[in-house]
Amino acid sequence: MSLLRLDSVSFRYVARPESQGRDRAVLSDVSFELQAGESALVLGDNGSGKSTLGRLIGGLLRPTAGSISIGGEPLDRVPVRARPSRSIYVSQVSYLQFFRATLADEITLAAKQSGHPPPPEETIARFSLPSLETNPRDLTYPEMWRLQLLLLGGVFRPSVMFIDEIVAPGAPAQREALEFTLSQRHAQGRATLLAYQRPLDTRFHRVFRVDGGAVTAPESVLRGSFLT
Amino acid sequence: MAIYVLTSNPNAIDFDHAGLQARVEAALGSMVALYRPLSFVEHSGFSETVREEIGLVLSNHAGDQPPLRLFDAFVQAWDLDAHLDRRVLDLSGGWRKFLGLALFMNRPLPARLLLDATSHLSDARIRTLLERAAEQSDAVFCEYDPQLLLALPADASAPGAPPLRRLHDDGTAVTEAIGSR
Repeated sequence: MSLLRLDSVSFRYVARPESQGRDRAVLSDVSFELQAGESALVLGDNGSGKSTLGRLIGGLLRPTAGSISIGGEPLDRVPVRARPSRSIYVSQVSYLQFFRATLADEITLAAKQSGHPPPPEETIARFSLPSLETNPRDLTYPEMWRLQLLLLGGVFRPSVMFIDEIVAPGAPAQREALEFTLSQRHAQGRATLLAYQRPLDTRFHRVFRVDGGAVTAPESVLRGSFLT
Repeated sequence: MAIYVLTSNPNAIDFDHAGLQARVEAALGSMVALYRPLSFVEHSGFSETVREEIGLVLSNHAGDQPPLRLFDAFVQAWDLDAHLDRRVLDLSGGWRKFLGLALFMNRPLPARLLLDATSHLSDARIRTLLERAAEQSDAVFCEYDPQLLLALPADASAPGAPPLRRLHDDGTAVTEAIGSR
């Protein structure tokens, strides 16, 4: 059974009546699935619908048609409080997902909220973060991205995680954090999607393209590679 | 008019704007206007649609500093016509950032230093940005991932990105990399 399954999913943003604008269809009749442990790169131009797809998979938006299920369970039947264990949308706006005054407190909070133990020191080290006494808001933008990955991927450990873009993918620290996260989640049997504008050196099991409302898989399907 | 890609300590982008700006100004021998992304809050807050936002900004340029392009030419030059009647807040993150960048680039300025201007933009948006930058005064792009800009692939549908020159910041001075022309 697939871990993530989208069946004929469509989504349109509804214009507000007073704006006299038109509804805007973003995704139309999208179907695909990911198996446990798989990763997917979601490619698309600005405004193609990558973030909308991520918010749908993260449960922040509901499809206007079709359904999304995780582990066979329809996502819209998962209570909000239980949703982070099923799927998480990793926002582009990193600081919206930070709440505490130090990195150590963020990790403690994530562990408490998720019910999982804090990650061991050797895991934290893979994310190349500064001192755990640093305020998250004093991190550089790439460091904030890595902290998000650590907290959401390494502590919350949702079954499905949609990462809405990577900052500075050419930087070694970014790449190591991403590849460590992908390999960890592969080993745990979890599925991970990453949206970006262009191909990356990092290998994924699948590559999808969002264009004109459709999600297609024109690129080769990669299996195995470093994710073993 | 030259376009430079500046390599620097990434921390300078987040924490040393003033120092970086001073070093770039010393290297170029010119004042530079600084662009910093505001985490997608690229919006005046005084308008709703893209059309209104552009009109508001263009009509509020200082009298002695008219915008480089007026409304229709601006919209055409920045490929914004398909988005005019959408709410700014409904734009995707990349398009919202691009709109803010376009409005910044439309100001008549002696030179520009743009920090983290290209993240979240597709190759097509970056190419448009570089083409518009090449028409104006010097522009210095300082990115978390400068290689992404330097390795931008040519696109048959566009007349090609302008040649990029490389600058390096060692924390004390900005110098042009040897052989960067």
